[in-house]
Amino acid sequence: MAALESEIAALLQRVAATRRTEHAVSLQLAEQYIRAKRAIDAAAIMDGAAATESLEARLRGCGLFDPEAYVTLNPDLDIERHEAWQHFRDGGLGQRRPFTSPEIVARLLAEMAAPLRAEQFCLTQLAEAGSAAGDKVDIAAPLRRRGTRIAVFCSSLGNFYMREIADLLAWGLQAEGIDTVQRDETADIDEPFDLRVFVAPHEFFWLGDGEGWTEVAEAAGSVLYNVEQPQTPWFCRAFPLLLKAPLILDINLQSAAILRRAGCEVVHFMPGHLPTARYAQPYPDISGIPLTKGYAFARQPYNWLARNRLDERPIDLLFIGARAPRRDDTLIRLQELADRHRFWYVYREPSAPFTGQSGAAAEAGWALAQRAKIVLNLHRDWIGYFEWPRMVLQGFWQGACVVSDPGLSAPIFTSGVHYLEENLRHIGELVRWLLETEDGRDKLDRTRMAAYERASSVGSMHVSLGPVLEALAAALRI
Amino acid sequence: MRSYDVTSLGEIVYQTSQGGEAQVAAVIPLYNYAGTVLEALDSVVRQDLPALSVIIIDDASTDQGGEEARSFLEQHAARFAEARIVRHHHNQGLSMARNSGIAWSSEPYLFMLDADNRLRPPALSRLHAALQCSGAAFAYSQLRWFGDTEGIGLADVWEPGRLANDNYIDAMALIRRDALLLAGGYAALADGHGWEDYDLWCRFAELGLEGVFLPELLCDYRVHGASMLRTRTNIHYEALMAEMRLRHPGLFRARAKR
Repeated sequence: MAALESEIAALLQRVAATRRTEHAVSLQLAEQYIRAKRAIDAAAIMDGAAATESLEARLRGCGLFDPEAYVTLNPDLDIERHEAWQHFRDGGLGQRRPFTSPEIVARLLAEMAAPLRAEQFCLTQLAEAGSAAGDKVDIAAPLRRRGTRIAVFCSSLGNFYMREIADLLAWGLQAEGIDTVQRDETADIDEPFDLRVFVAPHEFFWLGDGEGWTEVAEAAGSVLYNVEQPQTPWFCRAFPLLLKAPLILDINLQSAAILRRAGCEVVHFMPGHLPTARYAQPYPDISGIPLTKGYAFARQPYNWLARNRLDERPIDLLFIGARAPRRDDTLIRLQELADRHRFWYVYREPSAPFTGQSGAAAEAGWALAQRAKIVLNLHRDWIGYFEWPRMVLQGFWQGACVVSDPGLSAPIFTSGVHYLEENLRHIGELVRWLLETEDGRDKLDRTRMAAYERASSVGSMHVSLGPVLEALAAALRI
Repeated sequence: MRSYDVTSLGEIVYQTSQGGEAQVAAVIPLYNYAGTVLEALDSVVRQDLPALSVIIIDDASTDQGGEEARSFLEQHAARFAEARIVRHHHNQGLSMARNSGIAWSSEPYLFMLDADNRLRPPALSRLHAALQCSGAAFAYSQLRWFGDTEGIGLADVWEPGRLANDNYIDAMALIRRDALLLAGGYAALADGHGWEDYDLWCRFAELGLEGVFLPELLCDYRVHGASMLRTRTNIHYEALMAEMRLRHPGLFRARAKR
């Protein structure tokens, strides 16, 4: 840990130097950016030093396994607590059994708090430097020169959030000039690519024909893009494949760090803003979205970027998510306030994936958010990750103000500046203040504006793809 | 709705009129809900829709619910364009009580409110606006469950194909009166175990009538020991689904083919 801290101290010095030269956009800046990123990766590998040998060492190094949780979550097993570890190592892991809990993840993250904070700070500074450097940093050049061909895979049967993430990654790579196509589980398994990125492996290798691709997960050139939180059974389902993958992208900073402890090669990647992507563009006509059929405003064309005024957003609060007890409690708590405002709840059973066919449809999320003053982010579990689809894509990119259940943080975005947090018990008071007082509406307006500005500059796709492109080039030994 | 005159099943026991025309009426079937009917009525009084009528069908209650409702309406007579209580000579069950409400009313939009449930203040105005702008046959919202269980309901956008999977739309809906008449009102199912509303939505789907869903919490559904959701309906689930399949083979066959 001391070595890690000294690496981070050195990294902070480099970042400080980067800040001083921030306005002198130059190749030197780009070089510093790359050097600093390499230092982060080196530090991360040291952190997971114990986890390079056996599978057992990797599992123990990761710290996620909990014998108590394993016995509780697998009631079909006739084993005692002291037998849990052996059962998991010798069979349960391969059977994709659940093995951890929010409490274990919380304890682990508490242990990792200092390096995580440092990494978040460094990544933020580096992204700011990368943004200042703009197009002069061309990390994609080596991949283009080599003629690299990439396929981004996503299950056709899964949650529509995953499709959005896959689209953005593919479009981002294409915008960098890299030959990229999209595929699903029905594709020809022998189709040649230099790199294959599998978005949401917990869905892809599980649903439909995806099971037939399991062996490809560990093949050279395969990249698994984890978007699931470690405390969930879905993450556990993908975990054995993640352990074998040559390279992992992870949408959450925290789970990326946990996977590094298991000896995985991981790059944190939150899809960046891509102005040409349809998810980031105005959606003027929403009359075809079934949810809007009963609303007169849905028949009026509306371009929020042409007239970005808070008062013209007819939905006061929007929540889209799967049913969970703590979400139920909160939405009910907001009911009295909802009598005076327009609160929309697009709320489904967790067992029914939010697929594109299911009425709410994919585009409803971002098209409706363009017409919402507030996008509400409520975590499924008490331990809440930075939920990119709801906070960034539905919130920041669409000009809405995100009000969130407190959760783990992410680089670039700051609570209180780019989004607002409040304990669920009191979230109604915050929403009431934001909607019904002059000061509150001013804060609401400033927050959403600041978030959009931040997301479309420092959070741009070009900047966020930098570390990914570097890792992909390394995977191809370029 | 029937070959016989549904209005002959009961008689008016209370009626008041303030003049003016309401577009919307709340239809409240009442059978032994003395403990809750005033809450239901109070939620109607608090609606932000200015012009409104109410009709209570007392289905031969044996408790004080009818008298309590009458006293309430007398106190709030000024709130309603028309207020009326019809008492059935004999208990007829929920379907026929609702049909009486349809027969005794003349407003073009009828909201079916069970006497143990409640409306949120903007419910009728928003559902009414939804019907006017969409042209749909009925409008419904997301529900809040309260009472013995707290939670959010299962309602979702109108997709006729989904009706073959489950009953995901509650009876609390604002319905065009002419659509109700076109469908022949509510049917009484074989053993009277509930789901008359489910059957109605299936018939609407067969007639090509559409519903419109508002993803807002506009209605409160009470879950308690005596509610249909928690007792009779669930116990008889398999039999009811079989009956639905028999009554609506086209809808259920479409599901099987998918």
